[in-house]
Amino acid sequence: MIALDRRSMLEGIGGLIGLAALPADAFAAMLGKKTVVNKKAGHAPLLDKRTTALVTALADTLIPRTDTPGAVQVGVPAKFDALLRDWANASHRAAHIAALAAIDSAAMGKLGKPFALLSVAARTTFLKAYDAEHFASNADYAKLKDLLVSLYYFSEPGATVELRYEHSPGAWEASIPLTPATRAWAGANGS
Amino acid sequence: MFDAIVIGSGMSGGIAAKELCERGLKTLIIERGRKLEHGADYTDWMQPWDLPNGGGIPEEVLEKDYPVQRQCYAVNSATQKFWVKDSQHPYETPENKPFSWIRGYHLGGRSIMWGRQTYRLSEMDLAANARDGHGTDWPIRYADLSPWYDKVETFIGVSGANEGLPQLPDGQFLPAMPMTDGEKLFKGAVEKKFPDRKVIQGRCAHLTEPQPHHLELGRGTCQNRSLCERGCSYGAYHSSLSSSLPAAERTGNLTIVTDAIAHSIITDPKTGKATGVRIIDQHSKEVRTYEAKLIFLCASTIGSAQVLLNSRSDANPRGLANSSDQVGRNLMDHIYGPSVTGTMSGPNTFHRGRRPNGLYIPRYRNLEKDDGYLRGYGFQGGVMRQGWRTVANSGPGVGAELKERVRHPGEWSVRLAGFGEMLPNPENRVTLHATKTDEWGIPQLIIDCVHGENDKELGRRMLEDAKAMLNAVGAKITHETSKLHPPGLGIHEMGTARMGRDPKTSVLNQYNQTHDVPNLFITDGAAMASSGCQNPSLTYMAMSARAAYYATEFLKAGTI
Repeated sequence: MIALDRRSMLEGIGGLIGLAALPADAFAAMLGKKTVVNKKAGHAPLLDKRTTALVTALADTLIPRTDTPGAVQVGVPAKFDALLRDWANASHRAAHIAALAAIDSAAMGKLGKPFALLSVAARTTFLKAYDAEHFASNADYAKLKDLLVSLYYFSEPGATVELRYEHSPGAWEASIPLTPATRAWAGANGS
Repeated sequence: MFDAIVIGSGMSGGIAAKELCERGLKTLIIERGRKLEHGADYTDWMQPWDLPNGGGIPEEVLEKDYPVQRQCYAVNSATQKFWVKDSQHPYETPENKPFSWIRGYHLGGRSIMWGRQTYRLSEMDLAANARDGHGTDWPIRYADLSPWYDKVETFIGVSGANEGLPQLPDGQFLPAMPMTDGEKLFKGAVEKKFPDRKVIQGRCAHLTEPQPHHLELGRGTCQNRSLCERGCSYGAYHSSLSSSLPAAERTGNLTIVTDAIAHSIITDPKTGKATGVRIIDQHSKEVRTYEAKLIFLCASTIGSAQVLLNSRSDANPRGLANSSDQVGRNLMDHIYGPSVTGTMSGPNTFHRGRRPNGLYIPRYRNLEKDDGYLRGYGFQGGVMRQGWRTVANSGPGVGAELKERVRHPGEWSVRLAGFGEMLPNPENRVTLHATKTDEWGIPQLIIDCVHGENDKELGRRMLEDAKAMLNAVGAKITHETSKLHPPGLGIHEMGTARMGRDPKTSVLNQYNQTHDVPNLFITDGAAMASSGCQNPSLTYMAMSARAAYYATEFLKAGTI
């Protein structure tokens, strides 16, 4: 099971959770904090502080809090860390970390700051352009994005507050109206 | 001393044991794997957020222990315990001839994780070998199987609709699962453009409306969860654990021994009859023997061949029931791999529930006219709204915009995947390795199986046809593949102890009785003289029930 200990993650990023979008100085504070061991799982985070800040900012930019929780509120950064540690093999782990680093160095090159230290508006604008350029042509980036996004929709809030999930639907209703208010079904198979 | 021993507790062994028990025989099931408890050992309780690693088995574990099993669509972190570790159960394949042997060793076997599609063979299928000369003629025809199909369908519960198609006979059905509006549109467009093709609702072994005999066994209505491969605590699809074994147990005639790997079948050199089964305890490695008057071998197509080949003796140096030299030969699997996905416009509607079933397009090639190659293929598929992950990955997008896109159901997505009939070929075979054994000292198998020219041609034609059908409904094709999966990955292995009329060229007679050993019957996929293109489990179950009837009659009459 994914070692998601939301509380230690909260501590780890200095009480940022709950903010609609995370201000840059919060990440700066985080970069100075010492590593917090996930007590429940008994693991230190796999990623270093700078990368954790990057993952957190990236997840927050991909799936921000709107009228429903965003990726950071549901613990995607810690889930991603656990996925790299518990699931990915060495070469894929390296590829995911390299894909993260590529985003950071592109941000440095273009805007002179690590991605996590950009303002919310700046990282959104930057990532939108980066995504448009790399989504179709850069498989490592696309996979990284798929993992972060999927961890959100696998989470209980992602599946039940943002989307709709029925573990046991009971009936099969082959035709129901589709309106602008209709939410997609969550589930283990999102294809 | 038992009246009967059934080797294997899967799809075929479960029905064989039930029928033998119900006919009054004290029956022992020998299962090589561990005991599984219906309900308690399932993982259908896991919510999406409970799935270990979001459903992924650690990649290094997959590489080390599941390099073959991981190719199967149903292998994930919720079902991991239902698949064998390839590292523990090795077999060899010649270079450049991969074969994917997908299996699970536990009580109930693959009946726990099966795809549940349930179709009859037709007269055309059973006459195919006689018609074109490939393989040997089936010693039975549709009329021989039909009442047993009726009996098994009624018992297991099959959702479907009667269609009146000679190539896919109707049966005893519970209510069909309705089509989505996208599927109705697709059906209309395909049937208009191609009058010889029919798009029908899939037939599956799910209880859409349980009958009293289902409820008596503790089985309930399908909840449309599509968590089936994790085991169903509702018992809504047929499996040995939900259905056939409880029916066998309530007769008071059933004994089950798990963790008992069938090593070989013992025969009496004086009479030539089988007297028992030698097993190895999978944990203690202790060797034991169980005796019975009658033996049903239902260890799966490849497993049953292994048991026969390993039952070699001075009298039968080539293995038991193998005077024809056909044991292990004629290995088939459905031709599988070519598939097409597309998006299409359609009605402004959606669907609720996760229907564990799809569309089916029965075979339409080489029925009356000659299409220039042999046999044919059918398709499974469906038309559903794209799910969240497909929508999320459908194009670039970040932030609130991405979230808003994924929030809503996607476009209609239409998919078709072909299943083709593979010709029997004696050179496609399994043999025992001369020196290598598994950890129980049983010779490992060498599986040597490749697609032939006709098989490859079917693969090409099925892709062309699938694309033409998507075009008929104006779909935009987003993904297509012509690649054939390695044989085995259709998970419909068949043919290693084929039925036939002549003991010189076949292993089993018209009663699934071995020509050589009168009290030995084989009713799993090994018996298949040809493969049809339909999902085969129903036929194994019908043969099991039918053979159990004849075997019991022969036993009573004292002829075996």
